[in-house]
Amino acid sequence: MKTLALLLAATAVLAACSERPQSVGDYRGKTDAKPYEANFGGDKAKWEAALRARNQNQNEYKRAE
Amino acid sequence: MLTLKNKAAATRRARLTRDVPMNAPETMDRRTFLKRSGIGVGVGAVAAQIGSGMMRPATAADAPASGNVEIKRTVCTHCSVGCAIDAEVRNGVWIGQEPVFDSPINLGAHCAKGASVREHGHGEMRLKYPMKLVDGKYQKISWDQALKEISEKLLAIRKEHGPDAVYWIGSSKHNNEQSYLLRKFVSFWGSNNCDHQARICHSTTVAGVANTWGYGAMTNSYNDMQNARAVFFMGSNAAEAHPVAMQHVLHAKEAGAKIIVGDPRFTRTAAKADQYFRFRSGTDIPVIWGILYHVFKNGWEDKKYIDDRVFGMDKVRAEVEKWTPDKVQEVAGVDGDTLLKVAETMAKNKPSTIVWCMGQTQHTIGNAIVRAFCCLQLALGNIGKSGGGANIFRGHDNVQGATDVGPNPDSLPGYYGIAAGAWKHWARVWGVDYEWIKGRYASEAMMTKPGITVSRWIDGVLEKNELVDQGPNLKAVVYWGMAPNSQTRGKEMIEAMKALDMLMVIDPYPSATAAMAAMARKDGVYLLPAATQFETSGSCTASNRSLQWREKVIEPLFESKPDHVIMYLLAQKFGFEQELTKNIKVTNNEPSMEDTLREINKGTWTIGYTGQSPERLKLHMKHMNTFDVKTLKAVGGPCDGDYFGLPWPCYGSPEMKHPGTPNLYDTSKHVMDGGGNFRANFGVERDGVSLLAGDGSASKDADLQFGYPEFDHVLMKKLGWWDDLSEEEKKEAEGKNWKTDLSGGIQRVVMKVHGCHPFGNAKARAVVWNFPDAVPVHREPLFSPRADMVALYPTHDDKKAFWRLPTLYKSVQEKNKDIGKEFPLVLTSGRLVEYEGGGEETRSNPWLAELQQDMFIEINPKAANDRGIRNGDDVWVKTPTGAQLKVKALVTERVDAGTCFMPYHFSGRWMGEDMLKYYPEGAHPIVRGEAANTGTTYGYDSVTMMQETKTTVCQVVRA
Amino acid sequence: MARMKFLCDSERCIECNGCVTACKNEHETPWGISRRRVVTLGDGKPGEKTISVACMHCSDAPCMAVCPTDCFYRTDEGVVLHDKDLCIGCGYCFYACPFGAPQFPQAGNFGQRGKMDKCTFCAGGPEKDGSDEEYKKYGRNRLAEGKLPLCAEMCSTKALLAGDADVISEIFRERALRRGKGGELWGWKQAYGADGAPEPAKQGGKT
Ligand code: SF4
Ligand code: SF4
Ligand code: SF4
Repeated sequence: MKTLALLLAATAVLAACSERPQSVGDYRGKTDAKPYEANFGGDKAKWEAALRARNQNQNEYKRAE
Repeated sequence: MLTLKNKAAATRRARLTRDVPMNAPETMDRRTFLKRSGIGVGVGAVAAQIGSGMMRPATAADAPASGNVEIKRTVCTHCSVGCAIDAEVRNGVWIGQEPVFDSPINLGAHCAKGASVREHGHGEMRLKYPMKLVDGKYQKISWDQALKEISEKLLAIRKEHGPDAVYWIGSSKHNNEQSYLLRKFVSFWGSNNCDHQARICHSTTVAGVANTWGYGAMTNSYNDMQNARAVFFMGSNAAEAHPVAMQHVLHAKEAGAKIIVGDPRFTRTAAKADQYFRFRSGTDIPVIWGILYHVFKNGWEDKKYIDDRVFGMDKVRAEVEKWTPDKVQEVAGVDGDTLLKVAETMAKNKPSTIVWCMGQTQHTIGNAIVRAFCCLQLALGNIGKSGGGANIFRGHDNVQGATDVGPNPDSLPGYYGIAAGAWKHWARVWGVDYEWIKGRYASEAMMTKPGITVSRWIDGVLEKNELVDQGPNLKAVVYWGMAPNSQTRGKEMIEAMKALDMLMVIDPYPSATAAMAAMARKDGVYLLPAATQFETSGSCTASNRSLQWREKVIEPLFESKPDHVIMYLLAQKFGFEQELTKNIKVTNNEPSMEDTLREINKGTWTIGYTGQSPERLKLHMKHMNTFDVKTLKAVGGPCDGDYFGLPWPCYGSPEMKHPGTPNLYDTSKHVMDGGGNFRANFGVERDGVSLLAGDGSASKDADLQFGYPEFDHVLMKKLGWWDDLSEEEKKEAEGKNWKTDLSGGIQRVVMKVHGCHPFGNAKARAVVWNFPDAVPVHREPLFSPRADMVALYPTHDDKKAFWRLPTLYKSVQEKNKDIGKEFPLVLTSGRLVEYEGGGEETRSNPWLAELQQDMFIEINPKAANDRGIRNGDDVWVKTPTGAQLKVKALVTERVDAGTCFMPYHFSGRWMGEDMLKYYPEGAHPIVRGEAANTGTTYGYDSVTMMQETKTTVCQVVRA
Repeated sequence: MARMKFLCDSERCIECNGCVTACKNEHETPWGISRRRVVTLGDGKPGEKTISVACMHCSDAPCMAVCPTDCFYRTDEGVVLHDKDLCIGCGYCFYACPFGAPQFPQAGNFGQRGKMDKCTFCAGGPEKDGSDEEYKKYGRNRLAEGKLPLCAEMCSTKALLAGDADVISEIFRERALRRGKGGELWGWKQAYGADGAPEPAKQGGKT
């Protein structure tokens, strides 16, 4: 499994440049929590909605035509 | 596996060189340049200076992640845009900084300076405790000792030489309340010898525009520029000096506005322009007249507007006719077609606005240059229009406020002046006896005579006593939040420092003053640590005249104290603390900022600082989200109808609920909705021509739809409006005018009942007959490499006693008319985005300092090659004062072959020498460099004593 | 959702370094460590352009591929992070990265950050979210707080956009349409591939 993933990753590098979900290679570090766990009680949808709303602050057209 | 990985790496590496621009460009950019040249300094060496660890305040990393996070709302202290900041504070430690998306001014945005302000909460390089220069070294002393010794010395000087022997330099970084208190403080000390940064950034603007149309301030706002269809920058590099303003400008550009930049240097603002033209430094008037030439020639002027609202445009026209395209080309180096295009763009894309900054103001003819620019807008009918106006960007965060109510040598708060009437008005507001104040002064004559300006204090020390228009020469100087390296003639400043009996520095940061003083002297220097604006509260006025209230973020660090506490403690020693704070509650030696603002409200009727009560301002800070970004008007909510920050004039009492004035002189609105017209401040008639506005030209729905003079009790009675006053108001208003009636009744009745403007309704003056050049004319700078131009456009005659000092023009120019032979390059100066003003504060902030590690001079490839200079070389910049500065050469086409540019934010190196040893230990800026002004020359504006920094001369040689 | 990306609009970027400083501030990165930089093309000449560059959190991140200790991982949102405990500071990732993102402080000076440091998209690292441990090693975790990268949130002209690819592409598209001009989306294709790049607006936007 590991080898396969790595191979895939390697091909991806060589082929480069196409948007696709990428596997993690053989990451050997600590596992990280999902970003919506600590402050959003694990509610992914709620977290995503919060980010989407917040993202609009980067668009001043929302406040000034 | 590794091989494969390396191969991948190699592939990427190849791409790196192909695609990544930072490795490619043939001209190195400024930052790469500085990074590389910075290797000499040694990143390690610089890093080692930081974190000496002595008394290090807690940083976020040290703060335990427990305890509640409080949000304190404050405002960036680094420029006049006034960007709001939410500070996150936990257990008294400033742990985070969040964008305030709700702010209609910055919508969360910051430039490098604003994004770094949290560093103030760590502030290792701060001045930490009072210090005294002993045998050439700074030693720590206690506050008690400091206050005792300082006050004894100052009182001794006062006794021996009189109150005018001490010079007080205040700060444009004080908040309004502190600025105001300082003017009062110096008055009670008994002198008009006080000033602040405004003298050397926009004094010519303030005098120029106030005399043209009424008030000395930006007419519109950063926000309103979104409504412009053309924006013309001349002498402003907003992308570096007012970065967040560019958010509004680029937004306007997206909506189709045309951006024009005229500047001797291709600035970063120019890089964003649709049209850019270069002109010879100092020839702004020929350029502007060259543009107006096309306006008049093509009949693009707004004739009705001129008829109704402008006085003397015919005289301007006569001068403009002399500036044919050929002549402009010859003098300014810009061709006619380029200026025709500018004229056409401005005329055909209305409303169009103009922006200027120190590129126009810092000249011996600054007052005339800015008025010429005003004339362009008046001719086009752009003033008093949303999207138009004169968007004059002020510099420091509260330089507008300090100008309005702070330590000015020629005026009490609110531009009341210093005639006896003004003193009596303020004495009433302060609740002190006029005679008592008079007794504090050397004489009544000295009380009504404008003081020395900060640009000239060195001459106040060094000039022959018989030529000084006051009793004593200056014996002591107090630098209270001001940088010495922002004043010209640094070399002579050292001499002045030597000659003083005493020098006192009050500042949160290590200061160039302290270092220069320690270089010049062995003793007689005191340093007092002031708190920053994040360690106190109070209001500050942004460039657009909006007031914002800062909450205190953290307690003062180390042993520092807020400026107003220091003021109070000194006043105690001088024995007038009671008078200083008669209406102001004092707790633990701290005068209440709220009460102080209330006192400002009580007295500042002239410019409408009366409606902005602390309560109203705090409400605005809380409900920023309810204000519209384009109009600044609150739509619904508790501030409904108000303009953000109640931009002055906000007339009447707070209870009258004037909403503030977003755009000055705007007749399309009712006065109670921020409308207005030009001010009647110069009489009603001149040379048989009426100065009042034309018939039908008045603010919306005003009872008087024609020109009228300013209001006083007599006019009120004549019009039969007197009885609209309440009995209480009548008592107070009797014998008074709209500026001195403390009841506010006259303003209330005129505005609320009759829809008129208390300051009258007049024409703007294209001819300012009380200035040396009533119609702006071009005059060459005192130091010009163009002898031919000096012959054609000579400067003014010398003046004998001007702001208490002899001031030279012609004699200096004559003597130096061939200076170009030895110093053939024009030297100009300006801003870098990372630093502010003299720069000690920002260069002490490692997050900023890292980005600009070297002082440099920009020089054109041709000029460099002619001198055998390569990019990155060390060079000596030599100037006529005999100064020579060792800096890095940045070879760039930003400047033309005859011009060099230096940033003015550096200090801490002196003609090749590192001044580190002269700073108090552990309180020195991380980055030090030659101060541009060490080398600048003599030259002052003929109205305001603004210094000439933008056009002087130099020679550059390889070091 | 949520494929996190950066986009820097060169028509708006004014080289003010707000983004760089915001990052310094938020993560207290030491002197010499720049998770973000601003790069100028054609400095001082007409046509001068600037862009702000950091780790782009590439779709196919070369750093991940070359790391001998396999310390990189990619979150569900496409953010490329690494475990500093595994990093040996070898520098391979720096050579692999097309954007020069990985930073290596002089060893010893800065504790944990002697290891490679780079932009985290303000998403912390593999420590407990919001913990001191995470802050000290990786800086603040804004994503977990429901906030977006501070560099973009504080950008003086809103040139730098960060967030969900669809959202920021839409913001950019709207702008580009108004001005009738795209802007060089430098780095976008290289980092994220050709798909999904916001279309430069057709000619003839609002004038
Ligand atoms: S320096 Fe000016 S533009 Fe920059 S963040 Fe502060 S107030 Fe805003
Ligand atoms: S996303 Fe966060 S870590 Fe990355 S450059 Fe921006 S501020 Fe720095
Ligand atoms: S803050 Fe924005 S405008 Fe300033 S350099 Fe960064 S990306 Fe450019």
